[in-house]
Amino acid sequence: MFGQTLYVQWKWNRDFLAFYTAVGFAAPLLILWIALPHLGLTSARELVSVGRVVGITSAVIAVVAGLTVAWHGYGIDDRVGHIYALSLPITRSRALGIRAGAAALILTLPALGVWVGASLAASQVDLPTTLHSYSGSLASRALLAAWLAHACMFALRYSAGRRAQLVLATLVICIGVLGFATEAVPSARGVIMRAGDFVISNPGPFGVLFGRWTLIDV
Amino acid sequence: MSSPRTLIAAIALAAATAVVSPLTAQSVRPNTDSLLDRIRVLDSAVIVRGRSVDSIRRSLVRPVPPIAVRRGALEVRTVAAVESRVRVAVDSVAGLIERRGGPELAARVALHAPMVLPDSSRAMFGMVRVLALVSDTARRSAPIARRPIPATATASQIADGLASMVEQFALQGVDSALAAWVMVGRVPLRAASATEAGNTYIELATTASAALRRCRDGDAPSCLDVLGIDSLPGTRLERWYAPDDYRALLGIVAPAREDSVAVTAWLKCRDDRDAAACVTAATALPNNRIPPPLSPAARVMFLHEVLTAGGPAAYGRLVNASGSVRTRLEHASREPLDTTVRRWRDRIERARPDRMRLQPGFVIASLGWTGAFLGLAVVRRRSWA
Amino acid sequence: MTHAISIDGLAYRAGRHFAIRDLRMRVPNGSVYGFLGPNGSGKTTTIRLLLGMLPPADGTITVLGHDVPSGAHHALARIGYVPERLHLYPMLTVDETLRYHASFYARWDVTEAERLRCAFDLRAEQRVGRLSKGEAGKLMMLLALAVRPELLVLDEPTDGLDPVVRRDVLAAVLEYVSTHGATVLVSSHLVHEQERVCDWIGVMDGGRLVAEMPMHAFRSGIKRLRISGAPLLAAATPFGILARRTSAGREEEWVVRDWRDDMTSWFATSDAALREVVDLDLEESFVETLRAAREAGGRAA
Repeated sequence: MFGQTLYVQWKWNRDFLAFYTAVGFAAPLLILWIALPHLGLTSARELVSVGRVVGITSAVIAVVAGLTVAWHGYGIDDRVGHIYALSLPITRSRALGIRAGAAALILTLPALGVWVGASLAASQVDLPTTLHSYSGSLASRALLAAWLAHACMFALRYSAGRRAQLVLATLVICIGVLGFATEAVPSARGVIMRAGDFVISNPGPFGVLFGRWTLIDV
Repeated sequence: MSSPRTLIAAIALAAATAVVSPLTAQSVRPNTDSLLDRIRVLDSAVIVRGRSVDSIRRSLVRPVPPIAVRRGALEVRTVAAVESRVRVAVDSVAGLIERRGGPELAARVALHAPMVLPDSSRAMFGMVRVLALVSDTARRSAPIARRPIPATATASQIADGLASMVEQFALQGVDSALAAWVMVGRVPLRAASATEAGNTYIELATTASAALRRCRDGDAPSCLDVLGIDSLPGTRLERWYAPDDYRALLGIVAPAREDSVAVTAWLKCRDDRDAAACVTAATALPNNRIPPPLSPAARVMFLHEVLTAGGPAAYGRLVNASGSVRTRLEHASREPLDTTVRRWRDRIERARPDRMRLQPGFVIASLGWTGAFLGLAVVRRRSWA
Repeated sequence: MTHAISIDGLAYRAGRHFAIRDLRMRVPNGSVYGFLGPNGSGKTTTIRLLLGMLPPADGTITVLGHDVPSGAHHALARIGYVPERLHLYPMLTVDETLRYHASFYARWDVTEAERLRCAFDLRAEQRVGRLSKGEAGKLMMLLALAVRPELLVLDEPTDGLDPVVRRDVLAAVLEYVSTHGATVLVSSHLVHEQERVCDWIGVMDGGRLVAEMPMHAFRSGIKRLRISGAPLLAAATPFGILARRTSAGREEEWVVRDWRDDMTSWFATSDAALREVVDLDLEESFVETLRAAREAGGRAA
């Protein structure tokens, strides 16, 4: 059951996955391998800056891959009105669990692409002794980010259906209201700021998306 | 001392009160010496009166907090609402003064009477409550800026604010040579935080200065040079930057606009990465415009090492010594500066930040949230369609 | 008699203009139950409710002994379902679809699946999205039969298919039913097709089941009677009157159900005189049943 679901998810998403994997592999190479000699970036600070560009590019690729697989994966059933999925002899929770597991597996491909591309690119650059490449950490963070992005979109698509837009709109309005309340209700500012900090830093829900995304660091 | 206008006004005031003052009972000597003596006497009276007037004036504008919290040389005035937190903070900071500054620092701190009192700060709509840390109750315009912190600040945060203030007290009245070398306007009684030390490590690791690279590799004279303690022979450019570093240097400093040749070379260096143009532009920079390769934060870390090596009396020896900065630092630390440099370098090396490693807690939190979001998809009473 | 499907007091609302109210339905074990009704009457909705695809607002549903929707996945493991439209993943080939489908069913018969694939002339490497309507219908039937179901639920299985394909599909169903004794619930608006294969009939209209009886009773029990001298209010009759219409002169036309031939004797004791008994075919019976149900619903409103 899991194997067949994995195959179906792969076949449905393989075009996107191939694209993201290729981009994840090529981006570090293009940025480091070609840009550095061409632009003559050699100082340690420039190398760290370029490494940060590679890191942020990898983050974007990972998040977009996660969002796409979740969005597109839902579409395979949406196109046929969910009748097939509903008619199979399996509970909803198990079916969704299998799908999420299959998606988690196929999302390792873009992260693998990042890892291989980043490792190859870093190996071609003369790094000073004080700088190191972190292709493994970068790829691991990319994988976690892809999974998180997938889970968020998966929840939106499968839990609310047509009300996903309402949920999203409510979230956006809440964020706007909170931001306004931060100034309008000064006594609540501390709480709101702390809540905001928690959301975007470890161990908050989106901590993996923010923070240090770089291939080259000290 | 009082300004001329204040002096004239004060003399008039003193004259009005001369009837009840024993000082004013003295008869005026007709000659010049006696007139000068008279002015000196009146000036002293003006100073006393001025303080009284200032107190009266300030008490009309803002009352001095009624509660005095004192420990050792540190006295802080506050109000009942924050007294308990201030007491804890004062205990902490007083201990810091004793451990790190000794009697010399205590004497300087005793000249001040800082306040911690509730205040308000402007926000978009209305005001937000804060705690104001003011450096002095006795001066209307304090040389150290008023510092607001959140009204809900803990004792630790208040102690942090008071400690910053004390560090600035420590540099007040110090000679300009030492103050200029310190650069940041405070004496580092507290150790640098992990973040600050880590930033210094990153600075050394990614430096675009040949001298700093030599320092990082163990060359003590280069370290002393970039710290501004000693100077190697040559111009700043020759001492601190190699030709490979010129392009990075010219990214943060440009030649004078009037020097068209240098400006053209600067543009060519920046845009075309022409090495020869970089040399031309860099050598055209005046010596005093070449920036030091090391930030003040690193210098402060070094000073902290000096004070740590010399014990509580190190501060007193530092501010009271005469001679070059090097001499004074060695006198304070009671050890060769090379030893201090080595220790400072080791401390920076140990502060290397590990920013890229994925901690197990981080991974678990991320996976946990991923599972929580997936769980939301399962919790649904209605069907998929 | 035990029932493969048992529904009591079922209620469901979809939007503002359609509702199923107080639906009661029994599909006997081993029967071929024809689910008749015009378009939009609620047949497909009822099927989706009993398969657990939609949550009922009220009522109880039991399918093969399992409560639905709580135990729907247990029941679905023993059900072969053919929906009215192609519901399979278009990018998979026929072979991939068979393997995917088989992974969910412990009862999947690989040999039978292959036999049916050859019998239906479906190429293994052909993509589902490129199948013709007939081929898609055959593939859906193949998937339903290859799981060796105890209950077949067919929602308009031959709709839009050419006569040859329709014959092939129905033949496969009848062959399976005759060899395995499975229960079949087949929904359709093609009355003549239902007449040939079904032994029970349920007529759905406007979200209500207006008639449910054995096929022979439906076919033979509904008659049109030509009556003269009929009283305004008829006394209690042994047969049900679906409709009374005035025809030429003082004659009336009665459409009745549950008619038996010996019921002509009742007219001897009444003021009315029976002139003629007209047999109705299934389609006419179906139309009269619907008409009567709508008229009764209008009077109630």
